[in-house]
Parts: sequence; C-alpha cells; structure tokens
Amino acid sequence: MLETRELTKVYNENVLAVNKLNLTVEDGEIYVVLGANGAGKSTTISMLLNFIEPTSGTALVGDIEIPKFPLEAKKHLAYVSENVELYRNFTARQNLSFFAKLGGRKKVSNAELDETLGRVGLAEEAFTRRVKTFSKGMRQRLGIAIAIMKDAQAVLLDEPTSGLDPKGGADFLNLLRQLKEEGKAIFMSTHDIFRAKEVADRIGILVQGNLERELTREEIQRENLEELYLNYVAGYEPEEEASE
Amino acid sequence: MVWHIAKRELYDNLNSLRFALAAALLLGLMLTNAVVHLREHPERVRQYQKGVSEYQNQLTSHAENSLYDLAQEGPGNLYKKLSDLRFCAEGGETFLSEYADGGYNRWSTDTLKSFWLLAYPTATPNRKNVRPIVTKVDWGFIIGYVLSLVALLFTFDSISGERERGTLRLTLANSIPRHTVLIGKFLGALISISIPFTLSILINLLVISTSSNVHLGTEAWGRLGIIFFIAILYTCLFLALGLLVSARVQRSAVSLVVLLLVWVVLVVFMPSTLASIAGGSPSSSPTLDFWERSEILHDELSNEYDSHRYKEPEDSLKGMQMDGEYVIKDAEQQEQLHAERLNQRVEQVIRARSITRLSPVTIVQHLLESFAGTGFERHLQFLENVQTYAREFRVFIDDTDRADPDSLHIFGVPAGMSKKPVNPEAVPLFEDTLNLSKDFNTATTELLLLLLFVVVLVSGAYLAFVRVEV
Repeated sequence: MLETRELTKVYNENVLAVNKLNLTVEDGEIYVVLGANGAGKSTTISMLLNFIEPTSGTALVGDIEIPKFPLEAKKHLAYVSENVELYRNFTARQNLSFFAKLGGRKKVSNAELDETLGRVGLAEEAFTRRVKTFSKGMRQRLGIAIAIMKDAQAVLLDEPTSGLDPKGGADFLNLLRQLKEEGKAIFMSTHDIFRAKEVADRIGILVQGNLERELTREEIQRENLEELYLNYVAGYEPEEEASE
Repeated sequence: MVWHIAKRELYDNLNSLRFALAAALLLGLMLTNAVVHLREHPERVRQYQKGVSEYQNQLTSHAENSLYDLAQEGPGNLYKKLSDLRFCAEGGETFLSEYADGGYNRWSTDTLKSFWLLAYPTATPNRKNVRPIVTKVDWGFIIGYVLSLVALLFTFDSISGERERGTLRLTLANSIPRHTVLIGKFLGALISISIPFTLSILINLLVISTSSNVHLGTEAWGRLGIIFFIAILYTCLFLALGLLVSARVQRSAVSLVVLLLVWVVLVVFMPSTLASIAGGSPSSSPTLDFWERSEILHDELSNEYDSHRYKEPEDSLKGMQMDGEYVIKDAEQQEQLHAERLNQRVEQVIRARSITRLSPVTIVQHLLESFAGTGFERHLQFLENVQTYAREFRVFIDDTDRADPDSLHIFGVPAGMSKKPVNPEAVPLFEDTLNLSKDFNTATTELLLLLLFVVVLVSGAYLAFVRVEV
C-alpha cells in the first residue's frame, strides 16, 4: 500500500508545487493522477522516491515512512520514468541485470532475465542488442522489465506512455494490468486521459498542487472524463513543473 | 554494491571513444619519452664518466706530487651522480649545474698561490628559471598535464550525463546510499584511467630497460612505485574535481566547459603566473655585484698583508706564517662569499617553489623530481654531499700533514707543508649518493598538501552529490 498524508512541497519558500496531498493506493490497485504540466505530478513522485524532501507531511509504503527511512522504503518501490534512456552501451540483458542487482537481487540467471524480457514483449533478438539501437517503445518495455524484476510492493510510473505509438501504449497498459493482478500498488502520473480511463481503478485530478477530484472506477466509466478534466484545468495557465 | 557500480562505469568507459583516445595518447607519449631517453641518456652517461675519470686522474696526479700540491689544487670538479630515473622528471636539470667546482684557483705570485675553494657554477641554481619545465615529454608532463586532462574527460558527464539520460533517477530509486553511487563512479573512472596509464608505463619501462646504459636496481623500482602512487593520488584529485563539477551543473556540455577552464587555471595559468610573481619578487642579493665584492675583499686582505709582510724577512718563520695566514684566510673569505651567493639563490628558489605549490601540477612535479632523484631538491642534496666531502678532504690534508714530522705545519705555503707524495688510494674520493629517506623527508609537506587537495575535493564532490536534485 502507498499512502500520502498532507504531503506538501513548497519551492523557494513561495512556489507551492504540492499542497497537502492525501491519497492511498491499495495493493492490486492502479491509481492514475491526471494533471497538466506543472500540476505537481512529478514532484509527488519525486517525494515518494525521496529524491526531494517534502516541506511538510509524509508518505508511506506499507508502514514505512519514506522521508524517515528512505533506503528501507525504496526496497519496496519500483520506478519507471517518462523517458527511459538506460545505459546505451549495455544490451537489454545487461541493463536488466545491472538494475536487478541494484534492486537487491543477489544472483540473476540469464534464463530469468530472458523470461522477464520476453514477458514485457521484447523480441528475443533484442535481448543482446545494445539499448542505443532501441526505439522508445522498446526502452519503455525494458523499463517495465526492470520494475518487474525488482518485485517491489509499489510501482511508480511517471508519464510512462508519453511518446508511445498506439500499439506500444496498449501493450504497456496490458503489462500494468499484469502487475495489478500480481497485487502491486501502482501509482501512475499522466496527462493521457484516454489511457488513464482504460486502465485506472481510481483517478485523481491534480491542479496546481491540489488534488481537486478523485474518481472511482464507476465514476470513471460514468462521467465524461475528458470534459471533467478540462473543466478542472480551465482557467489555469499551464506552466513548467519546478522539478521537471 | 560499490563494485557493481564501478564495474558498470568501467565497462561503459572501456567501450568509449575517449578510452581509446586516452590509451593511444598515453602510449604515444610514454613511447616518445622512452625513445628520447634512450637517445640522450648514453651521452649524459659518457659525459659523467669522463668528468669523474678526469677528477680521479687529477687527484692522483696531485697526490703523487706532494701534499702541498693536493692541498693547493683541491679535489677538482665534483660531479653530480646521474639519476637512472631522469626520464620520470627532467626537473629543470638543464638549468642546474652538473658539478661543483672543488679546485677553484684565482691568483698566484712568485712565491704564493691561492688555495682551492669550493665554488658553485653560476647556473647553480638558475634563478631565472624557477618555472616548472613542461616542454620535455617526461613522466612529469604526462602525469601533470595529460593524465589530469584525461581524468576530467572521464568524469565530466559522470553525474550530469546520467541525470540527462534519466539513469540517475533510476539508480537512486533503489535502496542505495548516494555515497555508494559516488564511490562506485569514482572507482570506475579511476580503474578506467589506471588501465591505459599502467600499460603505457610498463611499455615505457620495458623499452627503457632494454638499454645497457640504464640500470634499474631495487631502490629505483621502489622509487618508481612511489611515483606511480603519486600519479594515482593526483589522478584522484582531478577525478574528484570532475565529479564535483558534474554534480553541480545540469548539463554535461556546461560541465566540460567549466572543467576545461578550471584545468587551464590550475594546470597552465597558475604555475606560470605564480612562478612569474615569485621570480619577480625583490631579491635579497646585495646591491654590489658578486665579483666586485670578491675583489674588494681580496684587495682589503692583500693590503693588510702587504702592510705587515714587508717588515719580515722573506724566509723567516714568522714571514712564512704570515704568508700561510694570508692564503688560507683569502680562501676562507672567498669560499664564504660563494656560499652566501649560493644560499641567497637557494632561498629565492625555495620562495618561488613555495608560492607555486598552490597549483597541484607544481606539487606533483616537485614530488616526481624528489623521487626521481632530479631537480632542485636533489641538487640541494648534491651540494650537501659536496660540502661534506670538502670538509673530509680538508681534514685528510690536515691529518696527513700532522703525521709528517718534517713538516712545519704551516698551511698555504709550499715550504711550510709536507713535501712527501701522498698515496692516491688514501685520498678520500667524492661519492654522490641519493638517499630515499631524505627524499621522503623533503617531500612530506608536498605529499600532505596533495593529500589535502584530494580530501577537500572528494569531500566537495560528496557534499555536491548528496544535495543534488535528481
């Protein structure tokens, strides 16, 4: 389970990036946070990964308080970033092996690596190819493979579908569903309303650091999400997120 | 985990163009160094052996004539022993004299001749050339200039590049302390540089050891080991600098530009500017020219001698004593003058070297000179050996004269000293030696200073990295 309690981040003492954010992501649930650029999505993920210190409030993975015990908390967190570049001179297998060991795996066999790479839909010939020859979609798949390999309790995804073609996006959502079925708590930030609607169990709409609305699965199906989202963000000038 | 990260860095570096270029450059320079050394060293050895042989022949010839001849002529030119490791650090040897003059005679009359004194050729040490010498492709140049640049090229994007690619976020999303990542990166870069550096050194030594003129004994290998350690320590300094700047800036291109500027300031600008400032500082040398002072002193003594000497008969004992006192005092005064001039120059060079120590490249060059047995510190050791030998030589003359019952024991006068020939084998010979423990003592301050630089920069890199926003 992933939880934030009054989580707040203020940059330079006057730029409010996230304001008293309270949300919970249960195990086996996909929580999607929607928001324009500068809404505070990436700042939230950065605080969940302890890349930045919250100004106030806290976040938990299971019962571990992330700001107090970041190293312990990170054992239970996996992360997929918006633009997974990875190590360009490494092959897919070498990248996966490297990050698996960083994630705490002592020994990983080639068979296990290949199985995970196959599971995320990478062709066998790509296992031993250098990542610099990969398309963005292939790199995103590899990013998911890294998260799967870590076998963490919660998975954080920062705009993972941006730039993916429709097929790549659909495959990616299938992988998320698999992770959900394994009981992972999945927290994904995006501004892709359609994919959010397709995969989310709950959606939170973040506007200028405030969680303006939370929708359940039923509400997502029932309401016109696009219109709702545009209504919330209307009137606010999009701006760059401070940490993006 | 440190090793896991270091291995990745190493693998990445080994597959990079910069690694290939660094390896080719280091290998090319080390081979050049070896070839130049093999071309120049035999001639230096020949010159040294010729000088030593002349010194020994003169000493034998004077000893076989009489004790007076030996005492009046002195030991002759005393040559500085050649260092087998000159290829490591040329150390401005061109500007330092290869010998001390231990047979410097200035005047003679019908009955008297000036006694020998210890003089130091005017280029010893050359006060106009206190700058580090960089034109020679020695190890000092390769380590001081090339290796430091290579270290920066291996680290300028270590952190900023990973941040640009997003791999830093992915790495730090795991349960790994930041210092572990930093140490891993540091070690990875250090090993990546050490591989081509060590290989090029080994090839250099292999080529050099093929020459029959170079004899690398146990101590020389020990010194080479110390030099290698200093090179690694110096590389660590620039690796830490590279990591520090890479952590502080957002983009690798900016990091590279900043580091190149810092490198130019630390390695090129600072040594030359500081040396110019130090070289231009007020000199403590007397306003009167050395030779004028020498002449005045001699004239004063000569006038005093003349004013008293005419009162005594030429062959009287008292007259002979006055002659001896005059000759010996003249030699003492002149030697004192030479020693004073030497000390003034030494002080000036020491002052200049203290100021240039602010630059790490100068520190490393001083250290390499110390352990290669070349350069200024080595020259001071040579001068100390020369002065010790001069004392021994004079004691020998004194003892030998006292052992002759027929001698009047009046030094400085032919009739007052022993006329018997001296066994040449009994005359003490000058032997210039290098002393590793002395080298360590003289290099301690600079070693500590280099270590301090490394500690400060490593701490700076750590503080910058733990605060970096990913």
